[in-house]
Amino acid sequence: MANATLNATFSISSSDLFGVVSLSKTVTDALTIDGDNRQGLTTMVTSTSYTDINVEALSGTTQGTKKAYVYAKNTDATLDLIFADDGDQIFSKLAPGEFLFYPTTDNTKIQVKSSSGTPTVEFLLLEVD
Amino acid sequence: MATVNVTLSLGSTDLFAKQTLSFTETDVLSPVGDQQLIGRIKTTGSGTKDNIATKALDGTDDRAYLFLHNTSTTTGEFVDVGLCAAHGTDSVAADVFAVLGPGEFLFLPISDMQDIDLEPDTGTPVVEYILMEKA
Repeated sequence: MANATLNATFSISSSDLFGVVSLSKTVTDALTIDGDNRQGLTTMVTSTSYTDINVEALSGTTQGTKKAYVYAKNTDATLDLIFADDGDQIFSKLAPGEFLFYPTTDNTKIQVKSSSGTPTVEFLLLEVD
Repeated sequence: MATVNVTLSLGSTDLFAKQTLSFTETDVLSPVGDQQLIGRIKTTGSGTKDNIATKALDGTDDRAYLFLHNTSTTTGEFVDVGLCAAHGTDSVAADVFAVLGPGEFLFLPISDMQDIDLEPDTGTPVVEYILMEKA
């Protein structure tokens, strides 16, 4: 599979988080995707039990090992989503409408479950070799 | 109550042969916790973990919004990001959950941790950060 490029841009701004300074930051990056697990935008109904979002175990050996870029969004209007690593260690909870984007590492899988009910998660996972 | 606007755009024309990726997500955050930080840190170096919270994250599930940007342009200057179960203690190997290559960033609503620490694989890359306690 040929290498691909993921162009990522993130902006954050606020005029009232701090009293003396305004916050305005934009960062862009062109990320090389060369791993063997390339999952496009997907939606999945969750439950209160963990489900892996990766189809196969993350196994890359460079850039910290087992690296993948992960995007996820909680599309539900009322329920939270809970994310944990391969040791069931919780590292993120998405309230309704919240999203995340980060390069995971050192974990063979990313798990998601609901706080209650069956909210839908939208996600993208792109592995690095 | 402060308002923080965040926008993420992802795009690619060659990830998939039959599908182009292009989307933008936006959100309006309202962090009201008692710890709101913006800063930059020159990491100490491999073997030392640098914490970024000034006190333990608290509130419901210790939730916070985290933005990190590894500003290095030097090949190999990766930064491991670890979660600290307690403020004032280092993460252990199993607590590393993200890695930032040179120029890379992350935005993540974190939870169930009281601090974040950073450790470069090599060099002393500078990391910019924003940590906003949620409640």
